[in-house]
Amino acid sequence: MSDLFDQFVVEAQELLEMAGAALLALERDPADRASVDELFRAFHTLKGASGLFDMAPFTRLVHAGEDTLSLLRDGRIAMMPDLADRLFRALDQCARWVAALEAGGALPADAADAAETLVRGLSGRAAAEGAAAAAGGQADGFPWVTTLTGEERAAVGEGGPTATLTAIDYTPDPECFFTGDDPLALFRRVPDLRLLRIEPAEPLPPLAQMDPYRCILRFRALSGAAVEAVTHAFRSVPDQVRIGSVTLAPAMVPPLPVPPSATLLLPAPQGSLAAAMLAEQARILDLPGSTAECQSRRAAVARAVAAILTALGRPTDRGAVAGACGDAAALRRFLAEGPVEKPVVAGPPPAAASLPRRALRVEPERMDALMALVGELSVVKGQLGPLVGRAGDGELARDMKAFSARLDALVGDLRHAALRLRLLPLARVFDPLPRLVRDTARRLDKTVELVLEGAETEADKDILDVLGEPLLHLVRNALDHGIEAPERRTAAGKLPGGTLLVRAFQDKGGVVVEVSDDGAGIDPAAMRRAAVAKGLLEPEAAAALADADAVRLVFAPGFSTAAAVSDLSGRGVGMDAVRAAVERAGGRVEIASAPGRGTRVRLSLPLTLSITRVVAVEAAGSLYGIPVALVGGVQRVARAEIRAVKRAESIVLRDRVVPLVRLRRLLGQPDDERQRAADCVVLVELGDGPVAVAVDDVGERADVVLRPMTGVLRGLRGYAGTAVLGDGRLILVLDLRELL
Amino acid sequence: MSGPRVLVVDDAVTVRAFSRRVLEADGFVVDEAVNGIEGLERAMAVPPDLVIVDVNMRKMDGYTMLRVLRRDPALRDVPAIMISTESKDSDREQALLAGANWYIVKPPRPEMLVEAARLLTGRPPGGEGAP
Repeated sequence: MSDLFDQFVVEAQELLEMAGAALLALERDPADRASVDELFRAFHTLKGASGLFDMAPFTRLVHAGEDTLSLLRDGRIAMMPDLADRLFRALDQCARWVAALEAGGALPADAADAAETLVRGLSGRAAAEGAAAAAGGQADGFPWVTTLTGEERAAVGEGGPTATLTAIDYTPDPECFFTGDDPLALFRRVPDLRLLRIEPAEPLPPLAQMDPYRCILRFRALSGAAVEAVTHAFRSVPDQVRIGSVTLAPAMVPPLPVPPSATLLLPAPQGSLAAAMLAEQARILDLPGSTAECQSRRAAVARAVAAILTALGRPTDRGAVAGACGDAAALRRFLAEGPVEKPVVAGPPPAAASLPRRALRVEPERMDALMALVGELSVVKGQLGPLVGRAGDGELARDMKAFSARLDALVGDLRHAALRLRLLPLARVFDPLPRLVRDTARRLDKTVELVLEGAETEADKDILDVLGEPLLHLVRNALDHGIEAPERRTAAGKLPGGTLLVRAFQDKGGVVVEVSDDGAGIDPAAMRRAAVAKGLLEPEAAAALADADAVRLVFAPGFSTAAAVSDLSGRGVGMDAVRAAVERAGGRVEIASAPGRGTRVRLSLPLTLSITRVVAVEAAGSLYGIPVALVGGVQRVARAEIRAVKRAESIVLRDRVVPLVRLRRLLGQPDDERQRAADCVVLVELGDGPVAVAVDDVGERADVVLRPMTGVLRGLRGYAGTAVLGDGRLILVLDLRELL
Repeated sequence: MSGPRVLVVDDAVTVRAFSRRVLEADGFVVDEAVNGIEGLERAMAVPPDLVIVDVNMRKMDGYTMLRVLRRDPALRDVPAIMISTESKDSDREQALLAGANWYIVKPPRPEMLVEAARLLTGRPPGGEGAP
């Protein structure tokens, strides 16, 4: 049934997400009926679906959640932040369990205990007791007894349907092997041992760190013998064992040995499902209702009775059956005329059958292989162009040109389609934010409205993976250091509640995510002082920094890790980590801030990691690529506008002094001998402000599949990899951060 | 030859998949719907030989769906099983009042589901194929 299990995992994930969103909405507006219903339905559906599998703690927890929500729905309890916290904890636990189920196919060993704790917390003592009673056990102090699996219950229940058993909780001293206690030998001495569970008492350490001479296990057992007899067996370790009497009600002792029909509610079981069903049909005829209702019930009953009789090998005239369905007594008489044969119980076991699938799950490796093939195809196709050019002007050449054009279009479409396969909506990285904001704001006693825009914007899965962490970081920082406490906001003439806007959109063939807050902003003067205090800048250099550059200091390594920054109402820790992660993926980070008004951080990332958009540039007769994501512009700069101080050159762009470097020099090539009136300059944004890179010429922009350097070239610094242009020419893609 | 047609109406995809697997393995032709409205639409488009209906669904719940089904001249006699996590007698009564012929408590055991479906569609329990 593994397909079914997979389906459960996917469905459970969806339901948990839905429940989380509904809970957030509900907390915001406790009168929101739709959200209560939504939340209730999510728990209810989870209960039903999890019941199909052997995962009692999971079912128990969602059942308790459902009970709580039903009280809430009926207005018997009110939505309070505490209750929301507890429901969130339950959802979190379920999410962790689903992750464990997905990874290992089973709930963790401590699931029963975890469920127990959460159930108690969730619905208070009364509900927890109710749930325990529903599970059918009197198990004070031995909560795990109520969460036995079906198999275990079957094993335990052999002695009789209602059993008083002795429960044993034994956590041996880790040094027990040295003190001479052998836990297993102890259990061998337990009379009438029905069940023995051996579990890790703590999370198991990695194998390499495992000390085989320490006992880190926990033993749980049930015995049919009396408490005294069991206690006697454990007399050598009284301090490590708990022994007590538990009662297992019939509901808890096993469905397994009972005949199948017993799991149905049979009002008058007469030995078979068919007989019970027929009896039920007669009863239906007695139910109250309008004339129309009774008429249609009669029709349905007549057809059901005819079907059942046919199934039993007593095909009966439909008219006769219908005639007998006037009332319950008539039907009972009609059925009594011939005994209902006892049917053969149970059909053949269900064999594997195909399941419908809405979404296709594809292994990432296969996607990568497809992308690589598409890349190769683009390259090979590119070589066709020059060939066609060499073919001249004949009819054959014309046909080839037409064919080549068509192939171009098709390969383009194919690449587009393959790329789209990997695209996922940003909702995936946005989803955790409402919860994060809620929890963080609550912890900090701040009021924050989160606005999400553009969750439907799509990007490659790899990019989403890159984006996730930095985004959480930025949001956390904005709450921690950006948005002020309500009193401070009011004093500053702002609304007491802050607003955090997270917005995504596509731009220049990439994806942009902005995190903006209306908080305190970053004070450039404070940043300058901090930079000097940290010894990162000389006082003169700091004073010379433009405000925008001073704010950008938050990204400087070693700067933002300083705890002192938190006091500057600036950004907190790890902004350099955000920058590094984004830049590794070929993207860039910008920041803009107005003291007292707020801060905006913008992350620009390529749409995908597998295809990089580059600008081809020429230097000393060779072609190089610069990722478009880093390029802020291309322009010609007159020689006269280039200022030189010794060998350091710079230009002035939009009132800013921008350093200028020559690609030839970076690559160790001789300077261009030609006397040119102007230089071709590519403006590169690396996060510390723009750098102008002078090149011999700027060529096309192209999407390329970037291949990392291999073999002897691997050690070469300054290159991100190689790529082939559409026409088959090889370029080296530059890693400008390394080069500069 | 195709077997009897069963319409499974449940908002939980896992439960639908479970029912489909179990019933298809026994030769039934299974159709699915995610709520009462969709269930009625499916039933009107292709009349089933049996409907298996969940109680708690968004848009239209199982009770309402059965009531509407029982008012439709073409569908009023289609046998119906209601399936729910609730095991109280009052819930069973509610189901029968709404028009169900039989009530099963979730999670259903595969053989129970198959046997009930067989009986209500006139196939011998435990035997092979339709008569």
